[in-house]
Amino acid sequence: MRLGLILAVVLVAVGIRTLGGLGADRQAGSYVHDSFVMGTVLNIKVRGASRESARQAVGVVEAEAERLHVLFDPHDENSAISLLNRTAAGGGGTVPVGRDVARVLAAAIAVRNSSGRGFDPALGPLIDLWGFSDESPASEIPDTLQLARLTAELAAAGRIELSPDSATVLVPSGAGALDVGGIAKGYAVDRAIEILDSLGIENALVNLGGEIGVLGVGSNGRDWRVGVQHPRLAASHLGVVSQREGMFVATSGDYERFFILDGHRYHHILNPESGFPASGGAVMSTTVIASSCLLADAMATAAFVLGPAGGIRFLESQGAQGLIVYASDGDRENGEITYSATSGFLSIMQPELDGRPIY
Amino acid sequence: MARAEFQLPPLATATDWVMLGAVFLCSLSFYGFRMLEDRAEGGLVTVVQVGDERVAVLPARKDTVLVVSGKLGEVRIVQQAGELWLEDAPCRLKICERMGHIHRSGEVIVCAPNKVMVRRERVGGEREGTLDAISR
Repeated sequence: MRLGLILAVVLVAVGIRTLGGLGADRQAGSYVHDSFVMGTVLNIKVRGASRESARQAVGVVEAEAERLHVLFDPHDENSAISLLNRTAAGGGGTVPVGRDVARVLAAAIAVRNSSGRGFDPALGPLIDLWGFSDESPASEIPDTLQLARLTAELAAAGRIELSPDSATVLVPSGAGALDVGGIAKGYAVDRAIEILDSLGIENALVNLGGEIGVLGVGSNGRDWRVGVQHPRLAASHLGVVSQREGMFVATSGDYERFFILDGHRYHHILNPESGFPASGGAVMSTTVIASSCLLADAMATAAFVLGPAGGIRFLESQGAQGLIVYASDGDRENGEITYSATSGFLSIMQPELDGRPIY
Repeated sequence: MARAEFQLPPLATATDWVMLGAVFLCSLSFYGFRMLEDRAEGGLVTVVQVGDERVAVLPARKDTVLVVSGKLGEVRIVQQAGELWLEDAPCRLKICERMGHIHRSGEVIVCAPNKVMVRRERVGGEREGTLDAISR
């Protein structure tokens, strides 16, 4: 009876393992986990670690992402960003900040200054006016007088600055409300990679809403393969980046949050100078590879606003690699799609469409 | 003087062997089903996740309409002729519907406010050339 039982248990285990191929860790030596955090999906792939150590590491990353979401949510009155925004609205002042806020603001301010206002983290009021926040979907152009007045006020207001020791933030009176939700996701990817590395995970990919960082190598010991979204063909990619450790990839596009009115596309990437969605050069998307996901994200937005020529010059000046996809005839809806890239980008990305090389 | 005699109990009784055979056949049929499925469908499946829970896994080539309840309400998941898309999402921005139709392994459609996600995956490991992620 004992032998029968033992064999039965072994066979049942084999059967369950066979069926378990549809579970979270289908591939031998790999662990894949998806969860909803920061208003998007966090996808983590770990290779070459035990299931238990991968599961524990992913749990730590998820908790960190939840913490950062609370910290950077401008609509949560307890968040650090809310406190800064209330200070701006209440006459300004100096506000002590922690390491995370300091790191994000330092990167945001650096990209703002180096891009000539191609990127501005303090556009919260404009984004709300357009209705591109999660709470109120955009569908029409705001009152143009109100838009012009708000844009002028934001341009004239003093800029938020970080103290030299990064311990405090100087918030001028009337400074625009910070909205750093986008780049906070990039920072969360950076933190995720730091955490996985510190926990001894050697091979991993972290994808938070399309912003991606990696450790080690992917399947078969090769570079991780990351597709770049085609800006008009929703289920297609226009190239594959061979992503290595230390490279972070972020994309900004006009194809997710937008509305079309009278044949014109109004999207969520606003030009700080005009207050309108960035339209110079008919850019549809920008993909940037940088040394951190936080920087890649901010620079992708800046390059989008600066347009094909200015954007590439900016990325080259920052030592980043990037791709700017735009309509060569200015017609973003039906025009011919072309691209500009930094000098090194095409050695990292293989252009292809639906698995076939473009050229 | 009487000799003490004893006999070891049998390692397995007839009932054990019957049970063993049944379990073996069950395992074999599961494995065979998986092999047949892999051959017929290329091992490609659609995974439906709501929140942190996988609520359905179905062969990619099976034409079907699935209605699942997310955080905000119901959404229709349509699978037809190998393609997969979302309809009638209760979210406001409809980004998930704009993500269009997907068909390859590694592709995903997400309705973040509704916490619903559908993903194409290949059973038994990804093939050479499959994307690990898409930057968007």
